[in-house]
Amino acid sequence: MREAAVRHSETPAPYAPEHPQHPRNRINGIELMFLLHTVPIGVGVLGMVRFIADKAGHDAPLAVLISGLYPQVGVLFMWLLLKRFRTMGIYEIHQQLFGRWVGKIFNLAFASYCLYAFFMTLRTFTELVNTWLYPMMSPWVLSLIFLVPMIYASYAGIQLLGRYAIMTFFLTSWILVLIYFPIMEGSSSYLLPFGSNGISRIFQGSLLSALSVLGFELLMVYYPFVSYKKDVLPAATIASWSVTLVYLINAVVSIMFFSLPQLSKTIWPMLTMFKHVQVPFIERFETIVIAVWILKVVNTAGTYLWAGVDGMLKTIPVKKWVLYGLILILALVFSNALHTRAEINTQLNFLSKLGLGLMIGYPLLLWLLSLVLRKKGVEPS
Amino acid sequence: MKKSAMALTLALAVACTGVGCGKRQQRQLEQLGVISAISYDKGDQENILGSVVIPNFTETGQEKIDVLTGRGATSKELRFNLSRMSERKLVSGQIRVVLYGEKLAKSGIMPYSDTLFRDVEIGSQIDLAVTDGRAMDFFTKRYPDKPSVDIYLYRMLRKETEQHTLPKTNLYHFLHDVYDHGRDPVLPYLRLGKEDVIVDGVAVFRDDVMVGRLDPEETRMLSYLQGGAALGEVDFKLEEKNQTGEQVHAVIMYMDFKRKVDISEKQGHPIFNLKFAIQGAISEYSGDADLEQEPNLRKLETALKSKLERSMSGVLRKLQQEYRSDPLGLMELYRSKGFVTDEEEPKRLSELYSKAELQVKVEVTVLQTGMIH
Repeated sequence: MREAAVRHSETPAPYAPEHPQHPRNRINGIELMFLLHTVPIGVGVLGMVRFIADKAGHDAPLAVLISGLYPQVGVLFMWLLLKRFRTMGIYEIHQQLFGRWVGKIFNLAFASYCLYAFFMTLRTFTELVNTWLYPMMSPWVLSLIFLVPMIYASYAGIQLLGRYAIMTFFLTSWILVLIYFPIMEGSSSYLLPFGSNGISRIFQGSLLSALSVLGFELLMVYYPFVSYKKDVLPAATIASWSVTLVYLINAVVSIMFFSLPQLSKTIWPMLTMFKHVQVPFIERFETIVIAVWILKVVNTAGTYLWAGVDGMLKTIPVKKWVLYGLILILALVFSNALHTRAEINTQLNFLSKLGLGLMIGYPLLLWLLSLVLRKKGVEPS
Repeated sequence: MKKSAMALTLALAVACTGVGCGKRQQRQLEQLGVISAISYDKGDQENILGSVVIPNFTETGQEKIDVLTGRGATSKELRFNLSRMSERKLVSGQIRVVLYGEKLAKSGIMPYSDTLFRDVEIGSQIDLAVTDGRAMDFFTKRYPDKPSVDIYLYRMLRKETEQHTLPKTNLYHFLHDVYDHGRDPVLPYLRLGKEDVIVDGVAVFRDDVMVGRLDPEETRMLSYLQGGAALGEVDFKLEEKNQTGEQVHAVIMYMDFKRKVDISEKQGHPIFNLKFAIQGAISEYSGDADLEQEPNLRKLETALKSKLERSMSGVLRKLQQEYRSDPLGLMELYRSKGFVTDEEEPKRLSELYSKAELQVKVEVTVLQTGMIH
């Protein structure tokens, strides 16, 4: 009897489900790596080569390679910032750095950005499904259908999202095999000559791929939940370059497959490429690709949603389910309000600029501020 | 507990909306007019004449196919007008063949093909062709011993492409080449025979405007010039005469076909050296020479070589000077060597092409002479 009592007292005190120490809120290095790898690959990749090729022309693959530097540099700055504040994430850092009330404003702003990114992912994918599969279905119905798994995944917390990211990766990686068909049709002469467009145009092209590398800024939100902080830098580095590799393959195949003026007219080059895939038992493979792509979109949007909600919950006293309900309603309302291709495009341009700033400039700025203000994280007691 | 209840509520909500959703469209096969082939012709003024082939799934008609003909200013208006003639709803997801009348092709076909690649329902591997005379006559004519016209045309064009008697041409290739500044498309050219359709060479385009055509013999040469033809036969008339005094013919079957393009520049003129290495077998020979003797074989090889060089460069010159069209994509290769930058590309490529110097060199090696020598 006595022994049992002792053992009981040794088990750690149970944490509330929202507490960062709760086992459901811990992710390990592998889960972090897959999260960072899969979240950027959402809807953006389907259309990204067009924007890059508009500027960089035949050198689009080079531009993509250069754009691999942005997440890497961003990761470095974030790591500097996060290391200085020990176990804190962006939301705690805001409050530590700016004080309680100003910090709250910054928290709300960052959380709103995450929710904005979540909403735009949802809306772009709805538009895509509208165009390719169900032209008659009104956006809010599609949004509702997609919102269910997104909210479900994000409600369950970071650990589930991490494991879901691993699953998404393996369930969608077979799509890579399909590039065999466009490569067979394509001509390698379109890749040549290397670098003929000059460094400035290649660089401008690389900036335009910003929309597709968004997702790394969430590292600042994941950080307090990572079990071993030493894993963060290698995991993030591997993730950033593997994302670039995926994009590089996409860019090379697209440039080979399309002629340049044709590419600049195509909204979703990747899907148009898969449209060309024909095997004896299935024509129109893009339909299947879109259906499978839902997995990826749920992953991306769900994670952004979780990051936004996490920030809201840490800042204002509100019940979790009330917040989710509110977001559900707002998402439905906005998805019907925003309905033309042109409007969506403007919003996406804005999002990509904002996101790139938040990924690279913002952590650097915060880090410099913390140096000036001599603030840093305290060792947890 | 609370969580699962919420998930259940949401799932129910979705299920209800899905079922009761207003604009549900009935799409049973019998009620659909699945268009399998479509043709465009020039009509009066701005209008186009079009006709569509719809396979009959129902047992009401005697014919295997329905052919509807109408007119309209755009391709979709045409479909709308045609739809009023049918008891079924017309859908374009299964279009396999698109025909353009020659007159329409000569005024540019892009304005009427926009919908083919804007509409996501339509696949990218459908076959396009230009017809001698009105395209719609190809659908209304009856071919007693053939399958229905849509399947007939589709299978024939596929087969011809596979055998390299036609260059690869489908919607994807056509659009790719129309948009490309350094390349022009070709499409198969069809002619009506007595009871059948004959593939009569290709129609040559400059951008989307038909500028001329090549006969079947020239088309073969074009297909070889584009490279990558591993199978195929070609017939030669040789200088020598046989015992009975008739001209000797030889037919060579390609077993291996390699193309190499050397590109250089001299005083602003592009210079293209196209080198072909052909290894093949003799599949027919009406002469008397013993082909097992080395000198005889060399003589034959030289004859084949000069004949091929002559006809290939003849086709090239025709394309370059007469039609000013570049189906080989030579200017794209020229650009890829870095002679022209992306910015000045569109303006200069066609001008440079007309000044280009084209040379063809062929190496023929006869590996086998068949079962006899």
